[in-house]
Amino acid sequence: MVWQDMTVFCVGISHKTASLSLREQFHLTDAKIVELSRAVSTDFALRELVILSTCNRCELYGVVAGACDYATLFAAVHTQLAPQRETWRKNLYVLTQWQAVEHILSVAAGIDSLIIGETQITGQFKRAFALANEAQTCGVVMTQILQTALATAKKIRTHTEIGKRTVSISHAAILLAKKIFTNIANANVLVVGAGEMASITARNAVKQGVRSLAVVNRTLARASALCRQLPDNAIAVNFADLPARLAWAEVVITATTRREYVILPAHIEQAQRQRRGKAMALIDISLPRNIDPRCQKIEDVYLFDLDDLRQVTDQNLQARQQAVAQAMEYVAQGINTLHKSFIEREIGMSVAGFKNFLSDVIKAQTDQTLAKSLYGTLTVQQRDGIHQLADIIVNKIVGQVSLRLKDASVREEHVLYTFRHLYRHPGSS
Amino acid sequence: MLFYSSCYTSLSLFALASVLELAVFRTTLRRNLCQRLALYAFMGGTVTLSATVLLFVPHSALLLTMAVAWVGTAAALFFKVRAIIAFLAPLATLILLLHLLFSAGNMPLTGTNSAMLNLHILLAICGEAFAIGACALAVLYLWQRHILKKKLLKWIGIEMPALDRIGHLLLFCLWIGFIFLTVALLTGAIYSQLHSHALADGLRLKITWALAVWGWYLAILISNKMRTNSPRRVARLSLGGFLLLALAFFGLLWQ
Repeated sequence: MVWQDMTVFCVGISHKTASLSLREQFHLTDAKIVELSRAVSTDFALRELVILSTCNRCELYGVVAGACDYATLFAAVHTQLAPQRETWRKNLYVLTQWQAVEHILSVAAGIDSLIIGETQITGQFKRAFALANEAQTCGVVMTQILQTALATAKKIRTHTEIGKRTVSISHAAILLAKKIFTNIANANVLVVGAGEMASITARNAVKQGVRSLAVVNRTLARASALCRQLPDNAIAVNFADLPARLAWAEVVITATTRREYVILPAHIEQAQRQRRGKAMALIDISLPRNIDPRCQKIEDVYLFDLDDLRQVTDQNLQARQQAVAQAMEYVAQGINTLHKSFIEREIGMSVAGFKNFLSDVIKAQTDQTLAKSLYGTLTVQQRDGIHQLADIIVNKIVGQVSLRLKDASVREEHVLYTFRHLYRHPGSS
Repeated sequence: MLFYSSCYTSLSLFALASVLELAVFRTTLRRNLCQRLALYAFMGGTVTLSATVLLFVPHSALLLTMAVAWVGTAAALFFKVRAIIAFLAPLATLILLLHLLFSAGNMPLTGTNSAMLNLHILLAICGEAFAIGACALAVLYLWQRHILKKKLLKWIGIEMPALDRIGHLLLFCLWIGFIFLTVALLTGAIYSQLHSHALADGLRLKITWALAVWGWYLAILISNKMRTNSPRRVARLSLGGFLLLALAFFGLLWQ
């Protein structure tokens, strides 16, 4: 009801409706988004347009007056895919008015993401907003919706469990280590391997505040290369020195592509003798495993493999899913806030329209009356006084009407439109 | 009347803390909230009980419950081991309930006309409170170790402190409890030397038990220094020591 003269829409494809191979074809660069936003807005007479393009979705959010063929609009943005339109049309979804707003708010909060609660989407949302501003296609309505979406996303992250628990393997590894060592920053971390996973885990450990880190690799040069990307105190260690290095480490993370065990119970037993039984966390994120599972039986040694880490991440993902209902309450609150602000805006516009209408009527009537010969003797000052009196009367009437209209419209929206209809507000039928 | 209403208020607060701690294990959402509320309820119970004891029955056996509650509050507030409340809240509820049911709470422990004896009782109670705290930490340590060793990772989301923190706090409690117990034994020995009539037959058993407990704790602490540092062994020995202490305590109450 709020948007009688316009349609807020959302059209797009996402991980829920399209495969990765199809989604990647819809991906747009920043420069292309700016260029297309301008062109398409003009061609389709869109009042506003924001394009969000990520690896998991490509969506167009906008405002249009009157009817619009959304599939054609989407095809216009992806010109190279337009000829095969019939093949991807079934993957397309179109949402309008408050359904579209609800979707936008859910997307911004990560509720609709492939990994529920991921935070990257908020940044991508801000980027889409900035690009629309650059293309000058973001107006009052979309600005208000996007700002509410970002504020709601922040609230959801603060007050619900949706983004609080880790769902990444490398984070889960550190989380488990933190269940053994209070201050992971003081622990010596030994990373075995220098591949991608080892690199991600080592960086993550550094982010968590680990100050002392060593990288062991069969090719020392690769270990050194990884250490150069890490803070100064990271050291590269030769693979042959691994057994000796174990006594130094509190946390050992293995991530190599070797097909046999590189850490055996004998190595750990020897290390534990030197460590005088201090606790040690062994985290094996390689497949096939690199740490002999029998190490788990050694006193004060805690071994976790990929299955254990997945158990943690799955459990956390489940908790995030459970938090969705709670998050949706915040989305509903966001929609309510938006609804109120749009109603207030509409009231403001209606009152302004009514004031113009009333001023015009009174001015015309006053001028017509004063033109009569009966009033020919009135001085300019007296005439101005009559006009001022007319203005005062208009303001008084408008003031009273405005207050009552606000009160009534918040409760019953149709009052606003009946009111507009009564004085023939521009655009009202 | 005011004494009983205060006692029942603290009992209710300890019971509420126990229920909330139970909810922590049953819910996946709002665990933090439940744990925080449990801590507030436990602290409320501690403060109410302390006021009750200090105002109405300063020499009663309720002092022990009060001391245990303060050990729990300190561990939760200063050492961030909030999970200790899960063990101490039901224990405090049980002890308080027993006191109220059997009216032992408002009865003086022994003769309180001597300052030396009062000091001895106070030190012994502090020693016992730290021993109970150590026992709770030992259970917490073994539980956390069990979770990690047996990979019962569904419990990992519960706000449990890291193993090393529980281990350090356990040793800290043992040391403090041992010092209190040592001084309590010394003051008790001096008192019995000064008042030979106090060493009645009934007290001999208590002294034997107290010495056994003291010796047990000494053995734990020495073995921890001499041999490899294994918090698991310390935790297990502490549990055993606590059982001995409990026997001595109940002997003291119901002899």
